[in-house]
Amino acid sequence: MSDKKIHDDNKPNVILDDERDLLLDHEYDGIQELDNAMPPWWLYGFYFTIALSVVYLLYYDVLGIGPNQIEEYEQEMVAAAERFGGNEEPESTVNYADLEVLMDAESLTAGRQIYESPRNLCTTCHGQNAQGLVGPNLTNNLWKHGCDLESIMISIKSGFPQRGMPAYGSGQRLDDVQLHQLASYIISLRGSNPDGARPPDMSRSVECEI
Amino acid sequence: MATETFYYDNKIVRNFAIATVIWGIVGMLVGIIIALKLIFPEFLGGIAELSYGRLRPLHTNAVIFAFAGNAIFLGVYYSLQRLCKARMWSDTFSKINFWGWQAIIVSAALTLPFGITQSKEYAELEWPIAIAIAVVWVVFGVNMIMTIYKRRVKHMYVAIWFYIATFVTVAVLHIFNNLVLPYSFLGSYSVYAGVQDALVQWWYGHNAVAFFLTTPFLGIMYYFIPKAANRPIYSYRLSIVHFWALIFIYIWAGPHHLLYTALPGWAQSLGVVFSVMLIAPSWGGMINGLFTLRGAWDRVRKDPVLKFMVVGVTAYGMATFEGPMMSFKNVNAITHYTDYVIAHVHTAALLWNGGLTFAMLYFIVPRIFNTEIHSLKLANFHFWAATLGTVLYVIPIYWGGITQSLMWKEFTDEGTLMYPNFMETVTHLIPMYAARAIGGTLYFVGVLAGMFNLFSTMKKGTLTADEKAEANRAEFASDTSKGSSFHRWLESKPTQFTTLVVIAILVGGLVEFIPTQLVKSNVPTIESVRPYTPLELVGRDIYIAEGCVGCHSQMIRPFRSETERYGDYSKAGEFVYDRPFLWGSKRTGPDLHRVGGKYPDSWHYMHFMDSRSTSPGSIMPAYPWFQTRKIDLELVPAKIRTLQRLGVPYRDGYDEVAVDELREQAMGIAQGLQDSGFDADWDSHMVAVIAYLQRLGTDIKAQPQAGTNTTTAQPAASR
Repeated sequence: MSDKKIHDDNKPNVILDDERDLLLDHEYDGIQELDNAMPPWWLYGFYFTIALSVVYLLYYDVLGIGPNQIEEYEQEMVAAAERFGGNEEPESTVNYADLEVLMDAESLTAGRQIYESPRNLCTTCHGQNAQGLVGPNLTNNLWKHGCDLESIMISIKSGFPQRGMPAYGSGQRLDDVQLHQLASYIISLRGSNPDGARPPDMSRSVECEI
Repeated sequence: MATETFYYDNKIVRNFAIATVIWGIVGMLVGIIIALKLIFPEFLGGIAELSYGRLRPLHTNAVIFAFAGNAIFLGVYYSLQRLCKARMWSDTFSKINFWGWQAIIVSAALTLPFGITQSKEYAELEWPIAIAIAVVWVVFGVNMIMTIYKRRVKHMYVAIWFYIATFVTVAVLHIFNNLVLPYSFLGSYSVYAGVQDALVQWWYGHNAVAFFLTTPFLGIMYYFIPKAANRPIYSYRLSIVHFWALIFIYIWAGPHHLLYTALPGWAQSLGVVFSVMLIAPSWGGMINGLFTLRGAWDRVRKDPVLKFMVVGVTAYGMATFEGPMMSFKNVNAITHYTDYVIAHVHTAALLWNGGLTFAMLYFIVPRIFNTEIHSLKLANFHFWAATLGTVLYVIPIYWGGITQSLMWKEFTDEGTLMYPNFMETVTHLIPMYAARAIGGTLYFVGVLAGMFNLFSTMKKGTLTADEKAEANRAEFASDTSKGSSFHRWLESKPTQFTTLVVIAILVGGLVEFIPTQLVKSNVPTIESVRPYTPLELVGRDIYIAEGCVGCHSQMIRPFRSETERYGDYSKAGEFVYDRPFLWGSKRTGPDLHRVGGKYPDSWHYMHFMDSRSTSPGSIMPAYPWFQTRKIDLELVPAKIRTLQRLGVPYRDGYDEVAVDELREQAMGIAQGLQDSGFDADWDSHMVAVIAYLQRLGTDIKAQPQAGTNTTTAQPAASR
């Protein structure tokens, strides 16, 4: 064992002139301690947080003046209802049965954008080309809930929650014009024969007769 | 008076130093792998044992218990001997501590990737390992306390106070959070359920941060900063006040991990206020560390030990200010469940724990090997790589966390969610995940340089295995320090000191637990909530094994943005059969509490086989093994009996028919999947997990509730 040490850990501490009176006679493996007062900003900051805590507990819990989280939620829901008219489905001003399938490029492009938009989630179940994934193929002539424009619009709008499709496919709500465009786009895909088309469920599908 | 000669045990210190470095590399490498998986979900894909959900707890356990854990032992074994002027009490205990701890780490690496987990964060290791941890920890504690008893210095220095608090509190936390009832050698259910389990877990989880990653490192700071700077500690009085305030207050703050959840409001409020009161006691440590450097700042420029210390202590100050801010309910509403929290913990973990650890290593290794550091330049490179790496790591995901939160909460002018598809919030974050991985890699490169530097230093020098020291025991008796104060007296009485520590750390926990456990109104019963069926239970255990909770919460907070997206907010009474609770702490994917019934079984099937087939852009890994792996039916009766013993109201003798019921339910699901053209065996993991997911959050819908807004019962949401 070598007694020669490269590191001298027992050098005396560096003590500044203004500290000499503050030096305590504590010594631990060469570590000394000063008796500086606690910084006032620190100490009063600590007192402040304690006072704040007392006020907080009184306000929210002991006296129950502040709203609890459920009350906050209810207030939030009421405010939203006032602003947006609640969660009620807006009254439809159009009779879907009177509408014609849209054929113009502009409407079909708009319909396609809705179909493909991540806000509307059609593709996640029916596939990018409506070939069907978990949901049925929308491009053939076999339909479960009607293949006419009105039926498709209603199917999108109300969904089939029992069978796995929430209203609007759980995506954003669509207004009548958007619904019209989307349904027209879906009809326009009929017969497109996309790759990987999902085989139909013959027990429930009906041949489209339009 | 005779001067006694004795020898410090440096060999054990050297062993812990090597273990710290090696496990640090391993743990951080796993961190980089999972960071890459968030950017490239196919990376190392298809291998169950290397999936994100299973590796994430391996990363957290490795960096906390293997890297920081060994660093704690390193710091304590080096400094305690010198502060007590005594060799460690028992070389055998030291060795058991060392090898036992390494064996525990290896067993963690051999269980977590195989899905053997208790699921509670930082307490994932199953009961046999949990028992081993308790034993080794007590061995450490006994060795430490006995060394203190045979010290040759009358008073215990502040570092030792922190070591004592660490030992005592971690023991209490670990034991109470790991109370489980086993159903097999590597399987168990928590004795607490739902809300109680959540409270106990976050009392533990938060205080693991407090008493595993804070107090021992404060002790380390108190020894190594004055030693490295050759300066006296700034304020003895501040040490006393901030020590006691810190350990007393910390223990209460756990509920801040559960704000806006189904935890009773009063417990949440305690979590808020005690977190706010923590700012000053935490900063007391920072102040005492930084002010000690007064007059020595010129040396901070040159000495990598002090550089790492200063940046570490500063990061500690930032993180302990940020933490209380995140505990305010309105801030928490934004940061909780987001990557902001990940940035917050990495600021502290990488710079405070990492920085102090490397400072300590650069201090100790040259000393015990009686040589100079191999390369000062390389140590400086390590310092800059660590600092810049951390900055590059945290900034993108602080940004990402806020972005994520704002996107979750944003409404259109019509009052519907702006991003109803959760996926948009995920794909938006990927560039930030990429930047984070770059920062993390830079930090890692620094650590590799550090390893090379330290190992080269070891090679260059010779270990002084037993370092000669001298002390005069007579000074022990005759030391008449002017401190006639109570605290000065207490510092010379380890037994009384430890007793007071125990009292200080028990108060907060007891005040929060006892009412939650005993007062019924804290968890209002919901009539329609029933225990899981055997199949759902098995599915739940698979969900746990796969670590789904690492990315998916099951706790819908009472915010309009969440009830619109996910459905009605979660109620305490819905979780009474959840052992362990699975509320989660991060939403890389959407909340799943009300996913039951939202999609058809076939959707889940496709989503598990390839999440991107149903959800383009998804970063969830594929789970092809769900299709091939079979349920272990033999364990089912034991699981049912274990739950019955814990009070779950399965009827008498249910364990005998459980498998039959499981088969019946599974056959139904499998049949449905087969009808849709999917290949699914009734006893596959796939069927069980789908059964569990389809059950989630549905019980409450069977309950007719007066005054419930019917539109919220139908979630308008997304995936």
